[in-house]
This record gives sequence, C-alpha cells and structure tokens, in this order.
Amino acid sequence: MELQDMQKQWKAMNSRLETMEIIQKNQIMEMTKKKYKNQFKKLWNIEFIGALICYGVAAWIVIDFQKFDSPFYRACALLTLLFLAVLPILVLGYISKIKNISLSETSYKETIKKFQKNKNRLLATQQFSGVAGVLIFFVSMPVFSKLFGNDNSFESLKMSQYIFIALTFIAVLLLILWSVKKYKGIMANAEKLLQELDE
Amino acid sequence: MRDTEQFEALILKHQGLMYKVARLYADTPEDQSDLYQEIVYQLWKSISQFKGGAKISTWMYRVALNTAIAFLHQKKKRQHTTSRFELPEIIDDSSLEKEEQSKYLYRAIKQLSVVERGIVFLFLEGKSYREIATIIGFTESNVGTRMLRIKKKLKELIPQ
Repeated sequence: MELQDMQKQWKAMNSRLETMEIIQKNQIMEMTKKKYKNQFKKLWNIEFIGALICYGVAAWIVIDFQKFDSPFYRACALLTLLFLAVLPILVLGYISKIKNISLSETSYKETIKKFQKNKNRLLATQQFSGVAGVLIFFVSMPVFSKLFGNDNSFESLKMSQYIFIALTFIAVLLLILWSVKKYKGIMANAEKLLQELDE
Repeated sequence: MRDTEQFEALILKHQGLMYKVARLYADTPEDQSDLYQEIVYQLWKSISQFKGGAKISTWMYRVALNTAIAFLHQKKKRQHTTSRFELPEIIDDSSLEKEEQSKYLYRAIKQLSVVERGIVFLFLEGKSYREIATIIGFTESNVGTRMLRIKKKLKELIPQ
C-alpha cells in the first residue's frame, strides 16, 4: 500500500472521528479518579508479596539464629539470608525504576530505550534468581530442618525422601532450562528493537 | 494548569488523538478502553509539568505515545479496570465499508515495528518531520530516512 493512499484513508477516518462523541465530559474525572485509586492497589503485586514473604522468613532465621549450632549450619543460614535479603531489593528496585519513568518529559525513543533496558535487567535478575534458587534449595534444607526443630531429620533421611528431593531438583532444573530458552528469545527481540533505535 | 474545567475541555478537544493511539497500540476492545483511560490519567497526572514551550497538542502526542509504550510493557501483568467506559467503533450512516477500511488501516500500521508505528502515526496525523523529530527524539534527517524505509516496507507488507 502506498503511503499516500493511507493518508487519504486516514483523513477520511479523521473527519468521521470529529463527528463522534467518544467520551462524555462527566466520564473524564470519573475515570481519572478511578485510575488514581487503582495505583494504590497495584502496590500489592506478586513481587511485593514475594518480598514480604522473603523478609518474613529472613527475620525468622535471624531471630532463631542460635539454633544453628555448627559452622556448617551457620554458613547455610547466612547464605539463605543473603539470598532472601538481596534478591527482593534487586527485583523491586528494577520494577520501581520502570514505574518511575517519566512519560511526559522523555521522547518516544528514550521511553522505549528505558523500558527495554530496565526490563532486560529485571529479566536477567529473575534468571539469576532461578539458577541461584537451585543452589538455595539445597542450602536451605538444613536451615529449615533446624528451624522446624527436627534436629536429626536432615542427617537421617529415608530413601523415599532422597528420591523426592532428587525429583524436585530435576523438576526445578527443567523449569530453569525452559525459562533460559524463553529468556534468550525475549532478549534477542529486545536487542533487535534497541538496534533499530540506534540505526 | 490543573483546573478541572480546563482539563476536561482539553480532553474533549483532543479525544480523537487518544482514540487513535489506543486502537493502534492495543488489540482487544478491553485493552483499547484501558489504554484510553490510562492516557487520560497520565495527561491529568503530568499536566502541571507542561511548561508551554511547545504546542499542547505536541506534548499530548508525546504523553499518549509514551503511555502506549508503558502499556505494551505491562501487558502481561495487567488487570482490566472495572470502569464501564467503552470505546465506540467509528460507524456512520454510509458505513460498514468505511469501518472495514479503518480496521484494515489500523491492521496495516500494526504490522510495523513499535518505532516505525509511532513515526507513521504522526506522519498520518499531518505532522512535519520537525515535529515528528521533536516527539520521537530522532533528528529531522533521521526521520526522513526512516520514512523512506517505512514506505518501502508498507509496499511489501500490504500489497494493493
């Protein structure tokens, strides 16, 4: 289709639009107020709830830290704490950066760039947390064993429990492999878009 | 400016602008209605930052297009608002055929990349290369080069 043909059709559509009432005066402030209220509801998103759970568990580990009575248990507890404390900060940080991009002061090009770059960082963090999650899965087992007061349960697991752990590990691993593949696809598209902006 | 009366007048005057952006960047009627409302909200939120250096319509195009980009990025997380507001279809007396033409036009532009979509929309709105450059953030000559590419691409994508 020639651009001139499109222009003609667009003009015709514009003149039809001018005769229409898309929005009524009383709807404008009504929808604005509703959107304003919704901004506060959005605060309770899945990442925020996830962060609250992480910090809740971290607080529990700190409070009951005296239960970890050997260097091995203390090292596992510290690693789990580190994971629980740092990851939510990174994820919520990137989400907050994305939310705070000014839509009135930056150009279209800059807006696309900023959204894409922060989204890439968020995706990378989520990927990293998936891989680190497998490690933490094992590291946190003795920690929770102690927290639940099952002092000997970690040392004396039954065969069926070992099988359950191994199957869970395989399932988590498959999930990570699948998400890495998906991540590569998303990143390739993102790269293409950023390249197009810089051409 | 944060006066309600003035703001309502501004929105009513430029209601078509938001309608076109909503239809260009969202696919379903629910999404289009959501995006329309989001643009109105973003305009209300940031109108006090409008410094008056450029035309108000230029600033509105910028906010509307940037909101559309934000909307595309939040797509997976979004829940529809419960507002009863619905965007109408453009149908007049003469008109099922014309509505079909409009839909075809929107579909054609949606086949372009997000960057090209913004440029071609502003071009169809009658903006000069200079105005497009101001809103999009490229140089004027870069807009010209991209327009040449878009023309070629449209011919390939949408044969007569």
